[in-house]
Amino acid sequence: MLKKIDDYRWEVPKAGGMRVPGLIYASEALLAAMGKDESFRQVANVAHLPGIVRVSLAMPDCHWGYGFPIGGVAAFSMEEGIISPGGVGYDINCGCRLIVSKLKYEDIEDRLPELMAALFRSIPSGVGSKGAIKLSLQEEKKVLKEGALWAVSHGYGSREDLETTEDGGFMEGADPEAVSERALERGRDQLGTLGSGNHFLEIEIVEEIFDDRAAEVFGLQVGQVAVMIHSGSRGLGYQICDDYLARMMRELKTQDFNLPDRQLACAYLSSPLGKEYFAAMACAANYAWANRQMLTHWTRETFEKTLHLSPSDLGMRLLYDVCHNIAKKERFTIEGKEVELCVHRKGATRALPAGHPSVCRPYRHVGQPVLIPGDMAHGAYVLVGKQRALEETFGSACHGAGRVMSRSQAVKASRHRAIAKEMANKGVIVMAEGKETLHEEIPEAYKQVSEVVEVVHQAGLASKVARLRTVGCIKG
Amino acid sequence: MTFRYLDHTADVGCEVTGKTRRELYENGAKALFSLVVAPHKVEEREEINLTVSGIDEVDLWITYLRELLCLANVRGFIGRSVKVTSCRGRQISAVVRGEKLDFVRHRPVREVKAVTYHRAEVKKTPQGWCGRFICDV
Repeated sequence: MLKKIDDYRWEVPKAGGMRVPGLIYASEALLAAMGKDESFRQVANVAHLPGIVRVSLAMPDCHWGYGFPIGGVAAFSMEEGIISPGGVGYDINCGCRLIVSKLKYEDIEDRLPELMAALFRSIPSGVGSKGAIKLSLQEEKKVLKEGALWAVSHGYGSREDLETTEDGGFMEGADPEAVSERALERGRDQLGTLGSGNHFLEIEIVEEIFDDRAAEVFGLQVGQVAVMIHSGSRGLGYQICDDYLARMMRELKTQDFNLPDRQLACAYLSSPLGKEYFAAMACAANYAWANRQMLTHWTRETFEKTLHLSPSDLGMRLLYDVCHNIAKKERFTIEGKEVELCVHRKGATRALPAGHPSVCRPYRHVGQPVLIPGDMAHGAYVLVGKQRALEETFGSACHGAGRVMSRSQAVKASRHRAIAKEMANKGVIVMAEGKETLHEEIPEAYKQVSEVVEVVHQAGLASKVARLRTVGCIKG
Repeated sequence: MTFRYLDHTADVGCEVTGKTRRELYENGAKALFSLVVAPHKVEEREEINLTVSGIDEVDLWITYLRELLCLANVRGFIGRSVKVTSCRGRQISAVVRGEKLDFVRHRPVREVKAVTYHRAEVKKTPQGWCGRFICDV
């Protein structure tokens, strides 16, 4: 039973074993879509976890996940709280980055098919895709410890890229010894791959500016060409999540709490197992940042070769890189006291306001860029974090449009349609490695990104800076 | 029908049946393999022996499926069929028949990241056994 707080906030009142209430950010229409699956129950389930602080949150793109809902945010006390692999997700540090350029749409319009074909060749994607490099075990462990810095020091991009990556593309506390042989094996030849499913590389055009000041600081202009990349920690991250979920599940009987769903299996942050998972998760977070950094490098290289332009003519600058699936130790003021909490964001983006010390220096006076991709047809948004997010959502906002149809429903609904042709008619060139991927990813399988973004904007968590239109999309 | 696909907003799931507990586990394997590749493209060229244990029936079911997925994702071996050789208490032994995963010939349907514990279930029914699992894809 939900209680309406205002047009964009809905409380899930505390009941049964819930330690805190739930809070869902949604419009009435989005709420109705969430009500069709088990999202509300999952928000309530998360509220059962020990050490949860204040509230179990759901962003407007929330939908039914496994354990935590996708779009779920929860913070836990470092002393009495837990860490949950299911609260991070299988694709640890799945995230999104936006690279802006000096190019205008008219500079690439005629060459777009050629550019897309070249990107499709140079960016490994699809099921089981392997990267251009096979790491030695020793080198892989360095990636896990160093993150995006490893990629940059091996020639993939520049140090400036690190400055505009969340946390500099590096998570402290990574210990490769906490990563199983299986996970290391799965990760060894997948570095520098996009992956499959909803992972993508898109060419976008800045279509509309809502906030001139923030847009200027971020370097966004109408008509500008940009590239958005959505990828994560590949098999390494999946295996780390799988390994630790199983271990924590087996230790549940020794714990002093009960869980409403096994997929919420967790361990106290202060316990050896909790610490070990954090160390392994940090490895996957670092791997993902290195991965996106390599994909960025090959994207730049492909633009250079295809358009016969120099790096300075292209000016392909990393605007920002955000994590979607992560548990991070961050500081917040709770009831007047500054405390460190472990914030789980599962399908959610950090959204910090102006002046926050964790916002990188070039943007600190306006706030952190929040990148929100939509479906293939409806483009993406750039927002900027607001103070209210820090006060209400542990500095978090939505991460995308959020699915509304299952993959099989989407395939059934579009079986006899030529999706690539439909998208071409809408002005979007799409390419995919998997034969069913385009059907699984049809635009109507997702909520309207504009509606999701509007909720975040109206609720004051992050405000709109720019809207991007997709003109080319590569799916795995 | 030995298994059917379940709708889940983010992921894919299967509901599996079997006349016996052994058959449930054998059919569970078929259901899982079908999420990864088109089964008719896989030949039974090699065998791999597998023994897994769980702390209860649901844990055994999910651990068993996780191990089968691991063969594909870590060892590059895709199964076509499984013969359960022993199924006692919370331990199961099985022979997996299949071949080396060939991304060109087998054309995998999707990347199955993991078998989750979410809504996992195994129960005895009047007709035999029924199990459910959801995969993250």
